[in-house]
Amino acid sequence: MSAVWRVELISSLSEDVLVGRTLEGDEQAFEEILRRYNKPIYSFIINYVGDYDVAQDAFQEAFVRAYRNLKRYRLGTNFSAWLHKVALNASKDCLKKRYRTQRIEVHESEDFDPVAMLRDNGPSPEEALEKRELQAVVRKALSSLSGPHREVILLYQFQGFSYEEIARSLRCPLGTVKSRIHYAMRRLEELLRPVVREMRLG
Amino acid sequence: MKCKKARRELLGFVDGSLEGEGRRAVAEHLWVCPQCAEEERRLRSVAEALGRVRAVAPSPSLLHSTRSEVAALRRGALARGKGVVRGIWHLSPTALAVVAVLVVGSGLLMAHSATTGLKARELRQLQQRIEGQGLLRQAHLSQREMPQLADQMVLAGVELVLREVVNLSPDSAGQQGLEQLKRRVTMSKLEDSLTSLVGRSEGREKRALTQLLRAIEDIEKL
Repeated sequence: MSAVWRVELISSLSEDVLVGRTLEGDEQAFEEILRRYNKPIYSFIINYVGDYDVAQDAFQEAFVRAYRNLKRYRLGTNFSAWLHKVALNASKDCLKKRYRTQRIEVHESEDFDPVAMLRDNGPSPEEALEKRELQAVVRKALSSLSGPHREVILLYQFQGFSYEEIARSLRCPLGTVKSRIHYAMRRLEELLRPVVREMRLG
Repeated sequence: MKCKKARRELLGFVDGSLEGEGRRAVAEHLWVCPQCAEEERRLRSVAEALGRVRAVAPSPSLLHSTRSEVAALRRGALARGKGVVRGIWHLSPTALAVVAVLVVGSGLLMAHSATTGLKARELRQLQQRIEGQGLLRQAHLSQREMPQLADQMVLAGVELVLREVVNLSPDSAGQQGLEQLKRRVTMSKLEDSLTSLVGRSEGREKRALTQLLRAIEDIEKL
């Protein structure tokens, strides 16, 4: 009974309280942070790095860094944005490390055929969607964007941050964030246009 | 509204963040401009397609290894004991001063209360003690990072104040509380911890810790 009460209690705490408790040595508080953010942070990382192995390293590195640098988080600001920034930096570093040791396949947009990818993976686009194949197509489209365009579109479209939050987090002018998002959306629209058409026909 | 401005606002229009007059103006423009309406349809379709991408969870083994890494980090910080010296310096000057003032203040209080017996002052000291704990928390004084010192500093301060309260209005509950505290912490333990820290620290940290140690020794003399 007390265990249930404990779970309910900790799940109702704000991120700032959890940060404070973690700093005081409460192991359960950081576990709760990990529970809340493992999925969004992993999704963000895998979509950013576009490589399974690098994503494994980056995910672990992100949470280790977050734990180590928790004192630097300013209470009362946006914890989610702070954690995503930590994850972004960890992803960039892990990508650099991987590039130094082995070359990752770079997906050139000229070779990118999303409809063929869907057809290869399932008999119809609808079925493919159900099998999460759209994820692979989108990830490939994302990998053809430049790093700065990819990071803003992920934070905006997938993680739901506002332009202002992204600008603050990345320390980037608001206008730059807006124009990067716009460009990235246009580019993704071009890349995914055949898929969207197939989806509609399907 | 002209096409150039409408295009700038289209993303906000599609994601719903554009509201009020701006939203109405874009909507009106889309009625009369087929090119911008087509652009809006394209943006909306790609946003919808992206919206259908589901979030991915890390594998249980990745979560497990991440937990292990964090736990190792925590154990490493405790074992190295570096967190203690860093933690003390992190407290300076505010929290360290609070600790010193509370300890010294309580000691002075002890010296004078036998003759003056000012209850109001006792209460003020208790209040400061509580505020001091708040400050310590804000300064991220982790009781796990500083297991002995944090406990002993806080408890030594509380003990000194409580001792005076008990002297003024002795009751069994207060006496019992004081006895419990005494069992948990002694001034000599606090001094031992500080002496050991002074030995391991250097520079400004060493000077700050030495000052604190001297303050505590002065209280003992009182």
